[in-house]
Parts: sequence; structure tokens; C-alpha cells
Amino acid sequence: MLLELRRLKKEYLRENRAFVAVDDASASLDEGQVAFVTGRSGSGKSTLLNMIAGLLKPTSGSVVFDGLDLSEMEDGELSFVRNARIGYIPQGQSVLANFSVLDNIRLPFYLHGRKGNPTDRARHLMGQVGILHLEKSYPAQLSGGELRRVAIARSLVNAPRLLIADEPTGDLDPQTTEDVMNLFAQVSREGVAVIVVTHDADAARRNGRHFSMDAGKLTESC
Amino acid sequence: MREHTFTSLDIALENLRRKPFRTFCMTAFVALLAFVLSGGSLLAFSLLNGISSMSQRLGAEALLVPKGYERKVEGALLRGEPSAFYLDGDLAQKLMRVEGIAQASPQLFIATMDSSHCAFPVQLIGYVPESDFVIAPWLKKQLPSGLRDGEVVIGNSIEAKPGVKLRFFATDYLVKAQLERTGMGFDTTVFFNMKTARDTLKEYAKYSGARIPDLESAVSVITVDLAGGADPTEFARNIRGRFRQEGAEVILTKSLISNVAKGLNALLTLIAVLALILWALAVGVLAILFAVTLNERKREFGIFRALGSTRKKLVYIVLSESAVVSLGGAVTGIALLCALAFSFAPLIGLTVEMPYLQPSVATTAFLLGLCLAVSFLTGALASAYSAANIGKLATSAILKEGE
Amino acid sequence: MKNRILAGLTAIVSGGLIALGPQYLFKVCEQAHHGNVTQCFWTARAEIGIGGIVAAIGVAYLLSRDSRVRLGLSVGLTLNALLAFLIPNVLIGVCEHPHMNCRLTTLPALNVIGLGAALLAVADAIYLFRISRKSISDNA
Repeated sequence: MLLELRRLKKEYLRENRAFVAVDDASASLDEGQVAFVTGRSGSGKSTLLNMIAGLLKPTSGSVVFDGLDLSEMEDGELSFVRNARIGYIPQGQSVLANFSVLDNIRLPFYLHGRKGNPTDRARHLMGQVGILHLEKSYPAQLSGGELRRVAIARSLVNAPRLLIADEPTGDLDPQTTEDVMNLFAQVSREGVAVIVVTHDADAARRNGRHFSMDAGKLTESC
Repeated sequence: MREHTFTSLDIALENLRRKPFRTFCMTAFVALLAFVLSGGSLLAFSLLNGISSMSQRLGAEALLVPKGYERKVEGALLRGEPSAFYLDGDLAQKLMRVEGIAQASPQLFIATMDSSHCAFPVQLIGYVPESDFVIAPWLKKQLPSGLRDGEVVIGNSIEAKPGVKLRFFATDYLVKAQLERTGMGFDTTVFFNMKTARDTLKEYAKYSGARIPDLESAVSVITVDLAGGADPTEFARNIRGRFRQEGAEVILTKSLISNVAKGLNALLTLIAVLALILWALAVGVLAILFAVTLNERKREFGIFRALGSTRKKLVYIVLSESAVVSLGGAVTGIALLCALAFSFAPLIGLTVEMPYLQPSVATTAFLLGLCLAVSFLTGALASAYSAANIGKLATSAILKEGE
Repeated sequence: MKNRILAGLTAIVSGGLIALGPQYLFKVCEQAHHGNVTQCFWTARAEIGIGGIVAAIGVAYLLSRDSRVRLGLSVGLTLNALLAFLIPNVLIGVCEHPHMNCRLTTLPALNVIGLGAALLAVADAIYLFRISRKSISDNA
């Protein structure tokens, strides 16, 4: 088992009243599996993802990833785990405007002072997602679909074991959506577990496990 | 292709390079701060230096001068405005015998109409080496053998070297030595002994047609040191009471210096207040600039978090950006100030109308280094609050749902 | 692109200041006391020519699209700006008395403008040189 959520709970204070964003969520995921999480806005999907990625501490419960209890770890270790073993694609446009496409993709490799040169791997990934010709371009010159491909290639540069994508197709046309979803399927075939939060109406027909969230409750539909 | 390493500094530099306008504005602001801070402190130090040089050089307690010429004497001493005014010899003799005087020595001022160089007057001063106690001790260092007839010592600003001859009116004079800089009128003065000055005065009278009542024995100023226990104010009252009718007046150097010091204090206070206001303004404006831009950029930093940056790394990136901007701005501002202040130093000195003497190279370097440090730290300080919060901001930016 | 306009305008402005400053802005000394013409008068004359050339190079710089042509112009600009500095300091000079107008204003102003323009032109030349080398190696 690669990922296990144990009775995960997150409470916020909103206008002095406790608000439960994620309520007692439990689930597990193996290598190579794809999980789709659907649900309305505000149902707690992003909060769930951020706890899985270690960006947010759960109020109670724990996230066990690759044998490590993320809720017990310090920011330094946690950031390293996220950097090395989790590919995270945040919601919306997430390519850094000040860096070229190639530098965006290489950036995660350098964040923890690794030695070596990720350029070949970056080029290989760019070829895989079909943006090799954009190497020297800057984000301002790219279309929405191209930006999403950059973000996907970037999330894979450190060969993660888990890929998390928060609404990766929200603003894309149907054809591009299809391309992106196919890329995730391809990644999962290489042994990476993939979690996709989506509004995509077609998600239900895609291969993988299907979860839905409603008012903080996570349930798996068969 | 250039090999990237992407340290915090690399990332910061890339961020700055890709936002030239923002970078330029912040750098310019720090540069302005550094410019004003270093300019203000250099001016303040030069003036303080000037007044200390003045109280050192005006080694007499009182000056006896012709009535009505007090301001001219000040102009000649402080700013080197050439002037000529005379007490006749008999009066001078009487004045030097007034009770309470320990030593007294006359000086003779002559204003050239033109030197052999550009058409511009120079102040000539003749003094009596045997009795003088103001200029002679100071000249002694440069000229142990004393000043013989036909020889001159020149102020620091006069363009000539010892060994050459300078022509005034129809006579050439041998330059024996050049004095160190004083920041006062002495810098543009030429000194003779009294006998030589007397001959020069006759030539002056001949060429200018000026009517000098007593060519053989007139003097311009009598420098006076009082006997121990004599009260300067009492002495001044005494002189005025007895000799005002005959045309003599007293200037007490202490009050001359304290008048200059008063003006100086007002100016220094103004400089200090302005610098302080600007500094506070700079901290405020820079802090707001950093806070606003970082708030706009919190999503950018949120992405860094998502990619696995530690909070610490974000802080380093922000601090590196502000450090580069502050250092660049501080160096630019101070370099600009140096270019202007050192080129235009004589003009500044004349404009402030006070003794103006730039501090030594070491002091100046120390002062500029201090201003550099203050400007740099101001930039860093202004970004500190934003930097400390960036971790939290970034995480919350990436957490927001439905954005 | 923007660099070209900025550098060209800087050259034109400094050329104008070098040429006209000594006549109108930071004037040299009044002439004709006794019919002798002073050194600063000739310096001001010479700077009219040099400033004119600097400004003209600035115009040519603005108009040239090829960065290698601009590189050549930058080198010319550097040398002319240095000349503008050397004229009052070495080649012709100004009046000797420290409180003369030309010494108080004209000389320091020409120093700052001449050396400043020369420094900027050198920096620009280095920048253009690196660009031109890069574009050659890219084509090869």
C-alpha cells in the first residue's frame, strides 16, 4: 500500500464557528492506481489533497505515505518528501511566469540542492507531453493546454511515486482534457499512483477508482 | 548552454530580471535613500570639519579692524572674498598699546584686481613674522626658515607649486610653500611678510588709483591675544568706548565662531531631521512595496511550496531579492553622490557660505560605508516582515478552493 | 529594443549637454576683461564640436537596427565622451583660479557627463559584444 488515510479530519474556524472541511476520511491507494475525486465546490476536495501533500496539518487522523506518517513530520522533511516523491499539480495556472518552460520543469530538481543535471530528463518528459518545441518559451506565450502539459512534466521530473492533480482540466476544451487524462493513464501504467480531483462530467466513465466528497465526507463509489 | 543551479539567489535574480520595472523602482528608491543619507552626512561632516579648522586657525582672541568693515573681515576670513580696508598707522600703534593686551600683531590685506592668470582677484595678506602668533606657528611646519622678502606662501586652492613665481601687479614673487586645506578664506590667500606687503600695497595704490591714507604704516587688522584674567567683553567695551570715534572696531573671534556655529547647528538639525524623515518614509514605503508585491505574488510562492520548497527556502528567496535590490540601490546612490559631491566640492563649499572642509579619505570612506550599510539594512528590514510571513501566505494561497 | 532607445537617447542628451552646457547651462567665465581670451573659452568651443558628434552618434545609434553596427557606434561614443572629459582637464584646460566659474561649474559638470557617458557606452559596448558573439555562435 502506497498511501493510507486514517480517519483524517480538518477543522477551520470560520467567523468564530468551527467548520469541518474534511470529516473522518479514510481510504487507501496502491501503486499504479488512478483515483478520481469528484464533488461540488467547497466540499473539501482541495483541503484533502493539501493534507495528502503535506501542505496542511490535519486536525486529527493521519496520512501514511510510503511508510511515513506525514502528520508527524517537520516542514523540512515534509517538503523534501513532497519534492522527491509527490508530484503536485495545483489548481489553476501553476507555471512560474519568471522562468522558461525548461527551467520550470527543471526547478523541482534543484529545490533541495541535488547534484546532477536534470536537463535530459526534462527534455524526455517534454517530448512525452508534446512540448519539446517550447523549451525556451516563457509561460506568457503559451496556451492553457500547453501550460497544463508543462505543469505535468514538471510534476514528474523527480520521478514521484504519487501524482496529485487538483482540477487539471477545469479550463480546458474537451480534446485537450482527453489528452491530459490520457497522460495520467500513461503515468499510472508506469507504476505511479495518481489522484485527480475533477469536475469533469466524464470522469465516471474513466478507468480507475472513483471517490466523491460531500460536506467533508469521502465515499468510494463502485 | 549556461548551467543553472537554482540556488535561492539564482531564483531571486531570475525573478528580478523578469520584472525590470518593479526591480528598477525599488532599486531607485533605495538609491535615493542612500544618496540623501550619504550626501547629508558628508555635508554635515564637512561643515563640522570646517568649523573646527576655523577655530584652530583663528588663533587670536580678538581682531581690531576699521569700523564698518566687520562683515568684510568675516568675508575675507571665512570665504576668501578679497577685500582691502585700512587703519592708519598712528591709530594702530595706539590700539596695540591698550591695557589688557598680551600680544598683538598687525596684518595688511590687499585685494588684487587681477593675477597674471584668469581675471579673478586673490586675497593677499602681509604679516609680521616677528610678532605674529596666528599665522606664523602654522607656517612654521611648512617653512621653518621663515618668509624672506619677495617670497610668498600660498593657500591650498591656489594653482601653483613651490618654486614657481607668481606675478602680482608688476612684481614676481617666489612661492616657498603651500598650506594645507583649511576650508576657509585662507585657501585662496597669498601670504607675504610685512615689508614685501608694504611694497605690494604701494604698487596696488599706483595701479588701482585707490586712495590709501597712510601707505607707509597703514594696517588692516590687528590680531590680539589678551593677558590672562582680562575679560574679552570688557576689553571690547573699552576699545569701542575709546576708539570708535577714531574708526576702530573689535571682533571677538569667539563670538565670530559661535555665530557660525549657530548657523551650522540650525543647518545640521535640518539635515538630521530631513534624513530621519526620509529614512522613516523609506522603511514605510519599502515595507509596503514588499508587502504588496509579495501579496500579489503569494500564489507564485504557493507553487514553490507545492513543488516541495521549504518555508525557509521561500524566506531566503524573498530576502535574497530584497538584498540584491538594496545593495544595488545603495551602491548606485552612493556612487552617484560621490561623482557629484567630489566633482562639485568647491562649488558646494562656496554656496554654503561657511567653512567647508571635506573629511579625510579614511573618514569619508567610513562614512560612506556606514551609509551603505544603513541603506542596505533598511531595505532588508523593510522586507523582513513580509519575508517572515511568506511561508504562511504561500500555503494559504495554494489552499484556497475555487480560485 | 528598449535598450536601444534608452542608450540612443542618453547619448543624444549627453551630447547636447556637452555641446551647449558650457555656453548656456554651466557657463564658462565671462570673457574680454582686457581682451585676453581664457582657456575655458576655447574649451567651450571645442566641446561644441565634440558634443555635436556625441549627439550625432546617438541619432545614428537610435536608427541602426543591426546590433553589430551599434557596437561600433558604442565604441566611437566611448572615445568621444573620453575626449569631452580630456579637453577641459588636459588638452585645453580651464582657468586656474579655484573660484572661477569655469572651475566651479563647467569643469565638474563636463567631468561627470563625459565620464558618465563613457562608462555607460563601455557597458553598452560590452553588452552588445556579448550579444553579437552569442548570435554568431548560435548561427554556426
